[in-house]
Amino acid sequence: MVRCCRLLVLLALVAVGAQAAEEGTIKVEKAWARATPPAATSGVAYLTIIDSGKTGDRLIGVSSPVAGRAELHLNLREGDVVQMRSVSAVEILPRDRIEFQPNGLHVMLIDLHQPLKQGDHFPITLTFEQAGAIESDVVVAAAGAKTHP
Amino acid sequence: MTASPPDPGAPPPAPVGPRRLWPLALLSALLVVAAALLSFRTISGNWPWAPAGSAQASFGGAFALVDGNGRQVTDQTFRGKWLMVFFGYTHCPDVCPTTLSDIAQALDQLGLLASQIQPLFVTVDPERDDPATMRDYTQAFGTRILGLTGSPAQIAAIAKAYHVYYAKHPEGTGYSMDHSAIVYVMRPDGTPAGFLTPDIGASAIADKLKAIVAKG
Repeated sequence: MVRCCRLLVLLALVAVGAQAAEEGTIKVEKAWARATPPAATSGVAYLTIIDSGKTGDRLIGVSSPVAGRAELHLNLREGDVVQMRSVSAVEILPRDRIEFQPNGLHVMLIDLHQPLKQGDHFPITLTFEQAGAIESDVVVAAAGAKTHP
Repeated sequence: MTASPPDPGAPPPAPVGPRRLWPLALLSALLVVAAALLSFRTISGNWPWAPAGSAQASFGGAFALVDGNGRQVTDQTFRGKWLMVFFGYTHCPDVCPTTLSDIAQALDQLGLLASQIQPLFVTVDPERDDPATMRDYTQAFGTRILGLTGSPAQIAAIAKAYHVYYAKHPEGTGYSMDHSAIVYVMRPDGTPAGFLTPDIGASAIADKLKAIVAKG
């Protein structure tokens, strides 16, 4: 819950006086996805964003050749009801570390071209307002995996 | 001729006072209490614990759904087994796989006891989740969990019986489903035994299940 609130705060923040990001201060690590059942048309990917710079940045887009489109999604829990919502951007604070993980922030892969198989790898591209496009390698874990393999 | 005053000797109508009514009031009160007790008993069956003011005291009951092979199943199909009944949908790549995975792992941890427990994963998205889709989806988490779908009316009926909220939320060109994420545990005779929230993790789910089954 605390994590959710923190994310909401991050998402709600408006970038004030955006400055040019320092070279290479954003890193994307530990990207992984879950294997999908044969008929599934949607999948999920998780990753960690680390900002070592002083100005912060903003994640504004995501794409991958394995899916027709990809979106940033957040799961919210209200009482016993879970709600999945797409978010247009994720605010990254200076020296921030944002972990996408099960039951929270995730990349939803929509209209998968083929099922994701455990052990496979595929590329994912995150687009940041300052840092531009950063490509990362995603490893596919088991269907019910909860962490990077 | 003089006007005659009202005859003071005529008896007034008999008073209907509290003293006369109290036996009737007492009887009514007793009837109300008896009816309340009776209906609570009927609704809750052998409810062993009273969740304070919770409507979930009355969850469960008859249902008719379709399994992954297109066969009709009802609550009667599973008599004799402990049931875990929970709701979700296959276009849910984050929360639902986590839940299915945790439940499959919890049952693995229970050893022999697991053979007495049948988890039922019921879709709240019958529009997209046909029987084969449910079967493929649940099989990705092993053989223990049975995926069930049905007509929109059948899904609405079981959701109502289990007090499960679900609603379509438009997302771009598609939609996601908001839904209650609770795992209901039913006794082998179909009466409610308890519930748990799946986000506690596999080991905690196993512990809770063990405790619920041990209470009988």
